Amino acid sequence: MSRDANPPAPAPSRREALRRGLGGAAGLGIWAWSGASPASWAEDARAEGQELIIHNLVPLDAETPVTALGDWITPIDRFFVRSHFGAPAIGPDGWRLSISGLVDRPIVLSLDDLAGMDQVAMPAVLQCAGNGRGLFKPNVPGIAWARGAVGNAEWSGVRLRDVLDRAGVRDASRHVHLLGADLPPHPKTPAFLRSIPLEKAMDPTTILATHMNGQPLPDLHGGPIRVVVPCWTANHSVKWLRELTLAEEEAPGFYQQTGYRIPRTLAPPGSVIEDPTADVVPVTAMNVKSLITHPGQGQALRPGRVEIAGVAWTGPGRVTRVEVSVDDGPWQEAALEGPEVEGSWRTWRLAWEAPSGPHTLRARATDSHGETQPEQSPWNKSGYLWNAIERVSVEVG
Amino acid sequence: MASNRIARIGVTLAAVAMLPLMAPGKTIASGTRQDDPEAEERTFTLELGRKTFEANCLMCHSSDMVTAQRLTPEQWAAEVEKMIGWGSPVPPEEKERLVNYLIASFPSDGEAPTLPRLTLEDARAPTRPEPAPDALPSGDPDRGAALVAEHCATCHGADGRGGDLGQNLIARPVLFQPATYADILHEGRRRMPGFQFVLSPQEMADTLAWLRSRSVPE
Repeated sequence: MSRDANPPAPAPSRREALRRGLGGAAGLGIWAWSGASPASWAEDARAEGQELIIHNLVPLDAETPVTALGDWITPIDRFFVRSHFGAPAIGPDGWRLSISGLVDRPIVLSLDDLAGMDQVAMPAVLQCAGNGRGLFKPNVPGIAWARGAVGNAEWSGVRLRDVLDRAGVRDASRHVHLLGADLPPHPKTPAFLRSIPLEKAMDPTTILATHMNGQPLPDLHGGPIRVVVPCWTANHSVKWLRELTLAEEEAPGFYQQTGYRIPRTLAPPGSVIEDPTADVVPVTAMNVKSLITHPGQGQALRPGRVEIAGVAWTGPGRVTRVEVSVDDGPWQEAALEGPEVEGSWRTWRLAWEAPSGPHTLRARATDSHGETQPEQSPWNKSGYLWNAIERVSVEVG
Repeated sequence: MASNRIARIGVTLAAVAMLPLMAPGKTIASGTRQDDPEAEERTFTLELGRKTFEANCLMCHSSDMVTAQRLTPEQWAAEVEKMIGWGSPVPPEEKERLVNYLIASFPSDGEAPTLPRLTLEDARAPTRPEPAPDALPSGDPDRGAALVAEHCATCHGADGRGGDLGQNLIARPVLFQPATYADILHEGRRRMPGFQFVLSPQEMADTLAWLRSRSVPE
């Protein structure tokens, strides 16, 4: 974690640009971008540390250092990468998206077809369901993400609802199965087949994204086309999308029926669920969470005014409060900043007069459902939905 | 299967030859005494387990994905069962020593490793297309179909999507890395033998052309 130790403070110029650029665009609802493009902010950040934490090189699983997550929009080359089987080496030429199953007219759309449809853009947090898995005790198997399997990007493309309407959804449909072009390495390996309930698919904020931060969607992030399901864990936001199938039931197979499930009721750490079908439910909505992005763990600071800053997000609803506690003292309310868009995150900060000595900083977020980050995150055997309050230690002197 | 058995014996012999040179795992005593046959046997068995790991796990993911885990014996055994169920070709007689290698090397009370850091540009290097126009001649997919059926399908499946011993080849980044592709066919990799005396460069190029043709959308 030594590379975390010395992050530059977020540049005031970038924050100013953000405020100016966004003007009155902030507000819950459909996103309307009226100012600077997110790509221009990314340029600002380019001089800073660019490295990702590599969990698996091939296929690539890489996490963003938490101190690189302070911007409202996460630049593409810092955005975490999660691949089950890796980007398919196909390229966008001749890409086809099929819509079939319980529809009136099975259709096949090209990227040009999609480009000709009504385009929408919105910022949304994508967070791996297993972000924080590496922090659970006892240890659980799987990629040991710490904090940075999360990012907030501007996604643009077409509403999934509009695509489904073209095919004509039949009344019996209840779920939309989502399948990408990434092939499993072996016929016995289950495909990464996922599904979302029809009502979530018809939500106007659920989109098929062809662009990220104003750029054509890069292949490592699911290009040329991926699903983006705001407010839900990113395993729903299937990459390299090739097939949409309308069905009465959820998708079959490991990744929907076995993976991404948690105990219905809290279980003690280390417990084994004997009957997974009866006692577990799918992971869907994200839970309320915050990160301290400045200062970094172990960072050396000078005495005096220090800006404690970070990001906070939740599932459906909004972040209403972020509080900071220094050395386990009283919780102090931080200022929430940046646009407020459901499914996106807020930046926050609090000025602190730092006296000499070692100190511990903690942050906790609360959302509009009244949920607050817990002291301990409920243990589950797959390590999903970690959102416990964390500690950042700093040395002032 | 005969050639496969020979390949396995070769791996074992290589493991024996490498023993004095190998880097000790964290739980392997670094000062193994030559006159301690039990310790020597333990070291040898762990090294065989490591060979099984390299031969049967790394075709689908990097070693870091495994070596960064810190799990209980029960969790390691379950992970190996899961991966065998998903097609990892671990020979049944090697399963136990693979599990024991993982338990001994990456125990649940072991210290978590420091993970490597790379820019996204560097991290994508292993899968980035290689412009290497001279690596292979231009190939013919129709000729390639017959060659794949004869030389590749036994392990990689008739459709190239994976079989008992070989993983999926369709839409894989290596199809756009002709120099690497040619190198793997020449030298072999992990459990795959080299084909330098079996396939000409033109024939290798033909197999590549067929695999590419199967990778584009239909």
